[in-house]
Amino acid sequence: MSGHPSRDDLAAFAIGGLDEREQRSVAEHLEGCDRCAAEMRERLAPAVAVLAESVEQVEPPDSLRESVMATVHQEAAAESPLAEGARSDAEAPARRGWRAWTPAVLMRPAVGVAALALVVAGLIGYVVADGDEATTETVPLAESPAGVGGNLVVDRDSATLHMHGMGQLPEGDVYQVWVADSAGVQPSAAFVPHEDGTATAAVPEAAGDVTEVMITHERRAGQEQPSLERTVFGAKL
Amino acid sequence: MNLSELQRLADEDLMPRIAAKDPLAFEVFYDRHGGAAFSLAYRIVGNRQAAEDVTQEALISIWRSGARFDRARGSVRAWTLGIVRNRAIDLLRRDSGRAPKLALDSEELLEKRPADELTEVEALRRETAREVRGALSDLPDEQSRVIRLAFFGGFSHSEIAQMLNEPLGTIKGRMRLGMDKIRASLAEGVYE
Ligand SMILES: [Zn+2]
Repeated sequence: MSGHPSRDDLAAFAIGGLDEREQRSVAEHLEGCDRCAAEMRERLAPAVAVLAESVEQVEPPDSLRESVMATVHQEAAAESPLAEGARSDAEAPARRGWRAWTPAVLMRPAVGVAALALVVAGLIGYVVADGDEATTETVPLAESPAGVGGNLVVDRDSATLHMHGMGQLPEGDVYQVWVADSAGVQPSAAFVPHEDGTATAAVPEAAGDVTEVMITHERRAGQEQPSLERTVFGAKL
Repeated sequence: MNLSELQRLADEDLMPRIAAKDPLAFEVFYDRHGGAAFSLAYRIVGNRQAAEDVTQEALISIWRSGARFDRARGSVRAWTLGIVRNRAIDLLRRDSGRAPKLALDSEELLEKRPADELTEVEALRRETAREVRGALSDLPDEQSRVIRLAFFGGFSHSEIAQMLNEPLGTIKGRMRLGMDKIRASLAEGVYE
């Protein structure tokens, strides 16, 4: 647009009455023109406000207040850094395309691993038959040049990742596990390592026909896509 | 800050607390503006369920982006109602097969279908719903009509020209005359 928009244009703009292209070009002009912006603010905007309030006032349903405030409270709670898990839960239903995954941080103490490493079903790696009651499959994950490595312990319907060499994270950040199979990549557990750099995380998604495991450093749990530039570990199985 | 302290804050001072994600501040905001927001949405979309959906979307977007309120551009009330109006118009345009205004690129603009796809009854409804506070009823019909069609109906001046079978270029002038009169009445304190 050359020069200032006409007064007709500004008035039409104020009530959303320009054609698309005009509407956009006036909006751009207002960003950089104090004179027209003042005309909008001082003269037109108050008249538009009168227009907006001229309508018959009707009582909104109680359900509106309830649903709005429910969302507000939920999201305010999720702002708390202690509530990452809650936020992931809240968002999970919207994540179409991902199979069910584990949003919360699933940390289990290392001493509990023996109890977790349970029964049966051979896929890949080698099978450890442990007496007559427990058959698990332990898949070694080759150590990276940075010294990150571990094992994936798989049984019929669960899998547990045991890692070492994981660097400490800034507060609030997490390591996110991703697993890939023929259908694509999906997120699994998020975790924070112990002080000695070890970590154990339940990764049930890896109990299936998984071809790759990857770990990224994420600013928060619940990402849908891995931040590939912050990959800290990856292993083909 | 407790509820009664928040209730004493001016709108402009409430917004930073909403930006800081204080749910109680948003409750105060809702109680001040929720009714006007719903009423405007209802006026535009014409049914309660759609109005409720539109208002909810608009209010949640304000909750999520409260930091973007800029007091240099007007009051919180006007900003809020502007957001509601745009959401409601987007819904109308989606429902009537017209693309939302802000999502069009210039190619699509050239192909934009004329407003005559809308039934005349629907256009008439958007034009004649009741305004009780007189801002429009004091205007000459030819001015109030084009303002209603644009602001509550989401029609552009060229769509309106076609609809009313008027020459392109006359409609914006009527809009401006009408808005000038509303502005003048406002200065006289008619609506306050
Ligand atoms: Zn200008």
